[in-house]
Amino acid sequence: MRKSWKIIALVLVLSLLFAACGKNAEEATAPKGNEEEKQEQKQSYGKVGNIELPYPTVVKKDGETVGGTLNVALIASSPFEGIFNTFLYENSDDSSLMQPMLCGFFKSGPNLEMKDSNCSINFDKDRKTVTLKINPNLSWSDGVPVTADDLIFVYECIGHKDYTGVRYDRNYMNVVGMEEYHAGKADTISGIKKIDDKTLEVTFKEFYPGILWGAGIPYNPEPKHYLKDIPLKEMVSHERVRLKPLSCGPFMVSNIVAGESVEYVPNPHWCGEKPQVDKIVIKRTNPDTIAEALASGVFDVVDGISISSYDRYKDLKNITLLSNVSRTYWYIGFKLGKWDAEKGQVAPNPNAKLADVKLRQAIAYAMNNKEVAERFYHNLRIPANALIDPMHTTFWNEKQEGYDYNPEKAKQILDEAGYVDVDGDGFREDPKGNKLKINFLSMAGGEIAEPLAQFYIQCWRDVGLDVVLQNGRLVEANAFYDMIAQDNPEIDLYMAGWSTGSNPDPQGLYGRYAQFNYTRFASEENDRLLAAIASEKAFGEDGYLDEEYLIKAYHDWQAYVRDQVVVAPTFYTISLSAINNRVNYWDLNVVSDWWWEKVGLLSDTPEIAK
Amino acid sequence: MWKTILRRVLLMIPQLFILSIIVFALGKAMPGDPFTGLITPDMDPAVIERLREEAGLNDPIPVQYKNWIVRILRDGDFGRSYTYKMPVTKLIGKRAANTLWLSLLTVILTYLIAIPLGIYAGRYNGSKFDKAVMVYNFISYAIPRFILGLLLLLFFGYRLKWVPTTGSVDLGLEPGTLDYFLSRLHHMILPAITSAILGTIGIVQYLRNEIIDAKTQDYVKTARSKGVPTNKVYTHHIFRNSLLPIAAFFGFTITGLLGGSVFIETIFTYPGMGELFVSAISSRDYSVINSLVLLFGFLTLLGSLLSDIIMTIVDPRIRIE
Repeated sequence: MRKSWKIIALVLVLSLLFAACGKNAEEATAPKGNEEEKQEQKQSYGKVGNIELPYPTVVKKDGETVGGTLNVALIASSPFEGIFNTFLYENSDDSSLMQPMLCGFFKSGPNLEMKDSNCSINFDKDRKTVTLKINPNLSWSDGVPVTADDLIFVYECIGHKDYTGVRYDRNYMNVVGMEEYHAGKADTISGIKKIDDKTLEVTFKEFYPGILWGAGIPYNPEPKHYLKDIPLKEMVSHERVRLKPLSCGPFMVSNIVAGESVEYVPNPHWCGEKPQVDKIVIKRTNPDTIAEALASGVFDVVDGISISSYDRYKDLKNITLLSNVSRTYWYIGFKLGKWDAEKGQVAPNPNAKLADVKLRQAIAYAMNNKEVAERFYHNLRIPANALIDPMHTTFWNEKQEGYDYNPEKAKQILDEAGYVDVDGDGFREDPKGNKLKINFLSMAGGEIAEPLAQFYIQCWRDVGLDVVLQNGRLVEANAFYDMIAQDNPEIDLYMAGWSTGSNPDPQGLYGRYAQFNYTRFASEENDRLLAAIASEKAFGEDGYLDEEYLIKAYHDWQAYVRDQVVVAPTFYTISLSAINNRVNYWDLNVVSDWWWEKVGLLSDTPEIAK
Repeated sequence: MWKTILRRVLLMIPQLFILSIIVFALGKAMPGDPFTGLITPDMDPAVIERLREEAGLNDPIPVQYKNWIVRILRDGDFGRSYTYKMPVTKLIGKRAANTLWLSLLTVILTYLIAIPLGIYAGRYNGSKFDKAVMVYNFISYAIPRFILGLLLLLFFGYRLKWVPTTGSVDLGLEPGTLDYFLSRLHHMILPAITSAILGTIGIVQYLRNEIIDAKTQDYVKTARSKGVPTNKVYTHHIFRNSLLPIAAFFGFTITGLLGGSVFIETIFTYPGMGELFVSAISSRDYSVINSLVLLFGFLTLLGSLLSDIIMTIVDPRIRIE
C-alpha cells in the first residue's frame, strides 16, 4: 500500500512533466481547428489587399469606462534599455515604451508617407524646402509649449560632432549646411530657418521622394529647454532621458524601474482628448508564459504576441485577438556575385552557380510555401508574391502572380534549360553535364528552424536539385549575416527576412550601390526601374506625392524582379495582438485616428479565463 | 599560512592577465560585432562604418587590446556597453546587486532545507523519512530547471497570484524603505525557492552518505563505548566531519553568488548577471563580455582560495603551506 502511494506520487509528477513537454512539442504541429469554424471567422474580418486576416484589426466596444490601470506587456528577452529620447534610442523595445508619451506628431498615409497631424507638413519641390508648422496648443508635460526650437534642437543634436547615435546619415547630411555644422565650420545649420515660434523651414540639397517619408525630417520634437544644458555625450545616460523624460503626448512617465517596468499617468498639459484610463503600466515579460498571463488577466494588452504559444492562447474566452500584416517579408536569396568595396558597388558574377534565371525560377516554383505556412506557422504567414510589403497598400501589387508551388513546372523549366540527370544519381547536372550541388545557408533559432530548412531542402530535392545544408547545420544569426555580407563563396542559397521601413524605396536593398544588396544582383534595367521610383517625378503638382506615377513605378519594378527572381519572396507575416475583454478600443491599423488617450477599461477587474 | 595566501593572491595577477588575452581574442574571433544587429533597410551603411570607426573596432586587434587594458589599469574604465549605452561598471553593478540578493536568499534557503534533511536522512537511514528524502532528491534531480520554474510560476504566480510574475521590485517604491525591501523579497521568493530546491540535491546526498559512513567509523564507536550520549555523538563528532565535503565547496558557493542563472532569470523575468552574460554574447557587447569573464575568473580564483582557507579551519589535519 505504502509503495503504491509512492508510485502514484511519482506518476503524478512525471505526468506533469510530460504535460509541460507535450505542450512544447505540439507547437510545431498544425492547428487542428474545425473547418467550419474557420470559415465563419474568415467571413467577418477585414482584408489587406487580397490577404484575408484571421482576426479583426480594430476592436471597439460601447459602454462606460471606469478609469483604472491598463496593464500592457512588453515581450522582451532582455531588460529594456530605457532611453526615452527619439534621437538617441535604438531599440524597438524603447520605441514601444515611448508610444504613450508621443503626440502623434505626424500621421501616415496609405503608403506610410507623412501626413499632417499635430505638425502640418508642406513640400515645395521647386525651392527644395519642407515647411513644418506645429499645433499651437501642443505643450510639454511641464507646461512649456512645443516650439520650432525643439525641432531645431533635434537637428543640432543629430548633426553635432559628439553625436554617437545612428541617425546622422545621408538623409540628414542632405540638409543644407548640415555637414558644415557637423565639421564645426558653422555654429548653426544654414538650411534650417525658424519662421516663427511654431514654424520651421528646412532646405535640402537634393529633393528626392524619400523626403515624403521623412528622410531628414525628425518624426518628433525633443524639449530643448529641458535638455539643452546636458552635454550631448552624457545625455544618453542622464536621468532626464532615462528616468524623468518630458512628454508632449497623452501620457507622461511617472515611475520607472529600470529595465523592468514603466508607469504612466495622464499628461495634464496634453492638448487632445482627456485620457480614459488613470494609469498605464508596461511591464517586461517572458514570452514562455504569455498564454497563462493572458488567461489570468495579468495583462490587458499584449502586442506582437509570439505565435509559438498560439495553441495555448487562441481559444481563451477572456481575450480578443487582433491581427494585421506586418512590415516584413521573408525570402530565399541567391548569391549572384560579390561586393566590390573599392568601387562601392555590387559585382555580379555571370558564372555564379545560380546565375541562370531559369534555374532560379525552378527553385522558386519548387517551394511549397503554402504548406509551410500551414504546418509551421498556423497559417499566420501568407505566401508572398512581391518584394513590396502589403502595408504599402497601393504600391504593393496584390494582383501580381507569385511563384506558387508547382513542382511539375519546375521540372519542366529545368528540363528545357538543360538541367538533366546524366549520371543517373537522381540529381540533375548543369547544362554542361557537371555536377550541380547547391549549398543552402539557414539561420538557427527557435524549434522550427531545423525542420523548416529540411522541408525546403526536400522540396528542391523532389524536383531533382541537389541542395544541401551548408556544413550540414544551421548557423547562428551573427555568423549568418557575416557569411552573407562577406559573400562567403560556399553559399549559393540562403533564407532571410527584411523588416521594411516606412519608406518602401527598395534602392537600399536592391540597388547597384547598396551594401545590403546581399544577392549582389544588378542590371541596367533594374537601375532604370529603381531610378524611376526615386525620381523627382514622384512629386505631383501640389508638391505632394504623385500616387499614380509611383504606383506604376513600383509595380513595374516588382514585375521585373519577379521575372528575374532576384530573390524568391516566401512570406508576409501576420502579427497578432491580444486584449482582455475589458479593453474598449484597440486598433492595429497604421492609418487610424486611434491613439492612447482613447483606450478605456470597461470594468475595474480584468476578465479571467474559466 | 598568510604567506601562502599572499602568494596565491599575487599569482592571480598573471592568471587574470592570461585570461584577459584569451577572452579578448575569443571575443573578437566570434562572427559579427555589436553593430551587426543594427542592419535594417533604412540604415545607412556609412553610419555603421562610422560607429565601428568611433568604437575603435577597425584598429588591429593587438591595438584594441592595448587600449582596453590600459584604460582599465589607468582609469579603472571598463568601457561602455554598446547595447545599454552606459558604463559597464554601472551596468554590472546594478545586475550584480540583483543577483547577489537573489543568490543569498537562495543559499540560505538551500542550507536551511538541505542540512536538516541530510542529517536526519543519514542518522535514521532506512526509515520512512529517509526514503521520502531520497524520493524528493531523485525527483528534484530529474526535473529540468526551467520546467520546475515554469510549473511553480504558473501555479503560485498566475493561478494563486501569491507572488508577482515578473521583475525584481514594484513600481514607485523608494529604495531603502521597508516597503521596498519587502517588495524585493516578494519578487525573489519564488525564484529563490526554485533554485534552492534544485540546489539541495548535492548537499543532501553528500551529507547523508557522509553521516552513514561516519556512523561505522572507529572514532564514533569509541565515543559511544565511552558512553557519550547519542545526540552529542552526532553534533560533536559526526556532524563536523561530515561537513567536510560541503565546506570544500563553500568558497565557490560564496563567490558563485554573483554568477546568476540564466534559466531562473529568464523564466521569472528577473534582471540578473546570467541573463546579462548570455545576451551580451549574442549581441556581441564586447566590453560587457570581457568584463564579466574577468570578474567570473577572479571570483573563481578567489573561491578556490577561500575553499582552501575554510578547509583548514574545519579540518585541522589540513594545512596550506
